[in-house]
Amino acid sequence: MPTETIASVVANGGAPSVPAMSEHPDRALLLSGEETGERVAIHCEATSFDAATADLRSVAALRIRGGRVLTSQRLILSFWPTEPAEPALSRLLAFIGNRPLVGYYLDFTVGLLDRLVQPMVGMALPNPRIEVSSLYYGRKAKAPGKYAVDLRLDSILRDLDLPPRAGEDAYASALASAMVYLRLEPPRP
Amino acid sequence: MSDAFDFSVPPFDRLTAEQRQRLAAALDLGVYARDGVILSRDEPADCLFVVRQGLVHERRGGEVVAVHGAHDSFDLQALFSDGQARSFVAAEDTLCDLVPRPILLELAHENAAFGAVIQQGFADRLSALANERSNRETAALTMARIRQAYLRPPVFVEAGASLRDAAAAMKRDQASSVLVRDGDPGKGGRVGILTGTDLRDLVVLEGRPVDSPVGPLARYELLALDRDDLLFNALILMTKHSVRRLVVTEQGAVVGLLEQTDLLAVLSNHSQVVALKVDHAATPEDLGRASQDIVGLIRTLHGTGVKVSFIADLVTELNRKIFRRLFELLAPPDLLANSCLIVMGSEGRGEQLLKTDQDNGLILRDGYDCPSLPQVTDAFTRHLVAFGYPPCPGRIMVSNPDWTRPLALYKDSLFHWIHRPDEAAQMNLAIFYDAAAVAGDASLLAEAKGYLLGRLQDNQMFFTAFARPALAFDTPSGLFGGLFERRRSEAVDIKKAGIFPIVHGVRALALEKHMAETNTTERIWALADQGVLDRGMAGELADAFTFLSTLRLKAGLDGSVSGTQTDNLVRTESLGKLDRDQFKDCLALVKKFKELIAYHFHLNH
Repeated sequence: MPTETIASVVANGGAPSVPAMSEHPDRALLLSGEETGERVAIHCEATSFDAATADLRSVAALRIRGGRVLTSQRLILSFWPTEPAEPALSRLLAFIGNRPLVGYYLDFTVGLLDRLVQPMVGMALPNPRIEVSSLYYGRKAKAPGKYAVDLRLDSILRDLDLPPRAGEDAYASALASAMVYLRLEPPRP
Repeated sequence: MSDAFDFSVPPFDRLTAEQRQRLAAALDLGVYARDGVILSRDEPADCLFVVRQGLVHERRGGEVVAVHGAHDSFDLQALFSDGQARSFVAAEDTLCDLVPRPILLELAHENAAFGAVIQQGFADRLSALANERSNRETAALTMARIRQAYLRPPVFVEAGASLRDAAAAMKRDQASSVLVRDGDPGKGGRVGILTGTDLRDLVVLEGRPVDSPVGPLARYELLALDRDDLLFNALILMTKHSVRRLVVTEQGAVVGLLEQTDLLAVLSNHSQVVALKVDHAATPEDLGRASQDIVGLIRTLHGTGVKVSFIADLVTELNRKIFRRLFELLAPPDLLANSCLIVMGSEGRGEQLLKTDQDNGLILRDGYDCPSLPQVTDAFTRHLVAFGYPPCPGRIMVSNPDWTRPLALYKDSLFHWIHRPDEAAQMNLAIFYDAAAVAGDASLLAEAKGYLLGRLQDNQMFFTAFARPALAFDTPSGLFGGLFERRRSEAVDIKKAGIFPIVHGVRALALEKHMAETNTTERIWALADQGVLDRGMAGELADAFTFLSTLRLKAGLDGSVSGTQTDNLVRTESLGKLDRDQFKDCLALVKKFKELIAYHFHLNH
């Protein structure tokens, strides 16, 4: 399922001019009613932490199916200021589809993506969002006697006894978010 | 997180760099919460699970049959069949690397070594190891290097020296040949050899004057081998050229002579020599020295890879010889004729390698009285302690009157042990059932054992109580992963966790069937013959027992200088990865066997 879809979408996305925004094929993907039960962990790297001005450098996305992070099907995209972003974005949108997004500081990632997706398909990403730091906060805040919760990603990983990130890149962070998500919200059988 | 996959763990260490890359790219990651089902019963697996961190329980029915920790993988059976009767449940928060079935099959197909490990079942793996060991046993001697043999230091004479000088040099250095140096070997000179036989031929048969120079008479076509060459090659070379010595070189320089006798001394291990020493011992002190030689013998044999069961046979034989000889030296002839010296426990089963606590006793003929008995038995025990056999903490020794008594009293004790069993009685009975006669009249022991078996007809209650200790010690399994990841410094008592449950379980089954065998392996196969154990189980059990004994011997050899088994602890760090794998499998099997025992003897009710 995944590779074929991606391939076909890349082909579609390669077509530069789209006559009517409403007919952009990726739009249908994002809004499809297909029930996969999957989630997508996503993280991006950018030139700054200001979603309004930063330039997107790379995006990593990982599907989560049941209790598994499908690292074998990861999508890692790089963006260059000199190259059009559409083909890569199309692949990303195909990869995401209608799946809920999981991430750490997801507002930033999605905000950044929306700046590119909005003009392309005519709408912001409609996917439900799951912010792992807020899941974590929700669990921690229940414990009495705690006044502040350390919400740094590495601290969360350590506290949950998960392996530390292998690096600071988008992929490592997306994988970390995926693990945090599964640890805090284990799939119900 | 493919980049963190540990490829040093078998079988993945067999993959090539390119294959590793491919495997890493295909990995998924499983995140499981505590108590989450990873693979349910009868669910076919689409991947091999390799535990990254955490702990996984393998359950069959309500029982945890195995525990998988970090680096352990499961479950090949689920992967290659339509499901299994077991389920896998995370015992704590767990991460697993998932190796998809297609890539696993692909790699197994490409890489035979990897494939072999992947697809072999437990018994296959154990028997592969056993084969490897038995090949090593035969190979051990042929693989020995010249370095391991005694080399005679070379005796040099100059080319100008006379035949008489050469003979004098041989006599002075007790050599059977001399090397003749003709010029500086570094500058085009040569080295020849002149042997005692040459001297005889030259002087006696050919009548050459004893002051003629050796230079022209020596033979310069030296048969030389490097010090790191195989002893086997040396043997072939000697046979081919019908010579009895070879020149051994190291980096081109002559370092010594290898005599045929020294070569043979290495190739034939010296157990015969020890046996001879025992037979010829005139005093207990002589025996003590012979007993020390056994330790060296075990070390050599184990070092060259000889099977532990073979070593055990040999050592049992020698130990019993020592006991018999010592008893013969100490006891007056009439005592010898009217008593039976028995060894019990591991010594009786013939499974003793290093010296463990002595368990021995003396059965006296009814009505016989020996006035000097206390002195004899005291001396016997004292000498054995001096030889390095530690005294038994339970005082099961001939010096204890409880274990040196007439046959009738032995029968009384047996009656007591059977019908009013307490914990000590259980153990006494167990070790007595293992007893073997060493010296004196063996029919006394046979009669006592006959009495024992006769009292046990259809006594189910007794067997239930008798078998129970087999379950007394916990057998950890899979502990080399998760448990040890966290408690790395902890060692496993291999005797309690592995060997004792097998020995005692098998003993209980054998006793129930009134078997005469005392050796555990023999009992296992006898039980298989009677259909008590199925053959597959028997084979695995025997293999596991051998393997665990090997590990125990290793632990003992490493931990002791005097050859006394003081240490039954196996430390995980010191195990190689293959041994660790094997150990884990063995413990899993012990666990399975314990279940069988519990079921057979109704221990759960």
